[in-house]
Amino acid sequence: MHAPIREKRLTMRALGHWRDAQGERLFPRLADIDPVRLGDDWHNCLLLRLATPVERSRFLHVGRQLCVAAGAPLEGRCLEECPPQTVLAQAASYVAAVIDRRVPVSIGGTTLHEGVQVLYRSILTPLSEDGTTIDAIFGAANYRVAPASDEGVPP
Amino acid sequence: MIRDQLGRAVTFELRKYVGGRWLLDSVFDDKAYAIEEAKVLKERFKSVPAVCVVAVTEEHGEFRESTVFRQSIVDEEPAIRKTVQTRPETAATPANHGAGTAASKPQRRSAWACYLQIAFGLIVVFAVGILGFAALGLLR
Repeated sequence: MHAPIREKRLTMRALGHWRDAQGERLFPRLADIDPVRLGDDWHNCLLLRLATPVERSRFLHVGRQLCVAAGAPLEGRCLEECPPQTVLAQAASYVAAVIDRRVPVSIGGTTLHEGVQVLYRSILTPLSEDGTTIDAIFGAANYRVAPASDEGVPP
Repeated sequence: MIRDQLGRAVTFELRKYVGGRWLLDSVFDDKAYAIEEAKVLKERFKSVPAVCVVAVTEEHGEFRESTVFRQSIVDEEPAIRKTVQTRPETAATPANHGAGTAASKPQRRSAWACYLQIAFGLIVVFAVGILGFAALGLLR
């Protein structure tokens, strides 16, 4: 169907993985997300089981690159327990938009991460068991420290 | 969400032409990323004949759309490839927010319209011929 292409950007690779898992369907299933195939990118990924209200959604996986150094593991914790002013919080802030639009959404910019100004780029993609109801989110994000005068493109 | 020079919220929607209509594929806050992903999508999925990136600007609850990138299988023909693929923003028109709106319909006339036009021409020629023969019959 398509030739394998190695994207240089993490978020694009994550989107490519989602597209591969999607196949001819509208949405991939949670089980279609394969940590082995994602390789090292898995450390920058997140999985979220959606709930109502959306703040009660629970993290199924948070890659170690997105974890806060001194924080407790986030797996099993609610979205509202996500440490504020982190790339993870920023990335998870538009879950509602993904549910609403029913397509992958990519957001980037500058934010604080553990007290440091960083440039980040993130993507969230919808997952569904029955092909209709979006019941989980697969996402990825990466970041780099923003120099004081940096107005460049996020990673 | 990014904002343009006038402070308006702008998103970039990647749309793909599938089954005779434009479908929303993904949403970006960055034009370059959206265009890059549009190219990747077009390259990876040969079954997608066309992709485009539409800038959606929100102002006072109203959405304006303008196509900032478009690529189709027609663009890949060597003779046509010279046409600019990354176009400057076209004149914006008010439109409803979302995929498959009138603003995103293909501008080219469909093949069916051409066939109908040819068939209509043939019918006219045939009718004129019949009338000519009838007129000649009456003159005799």
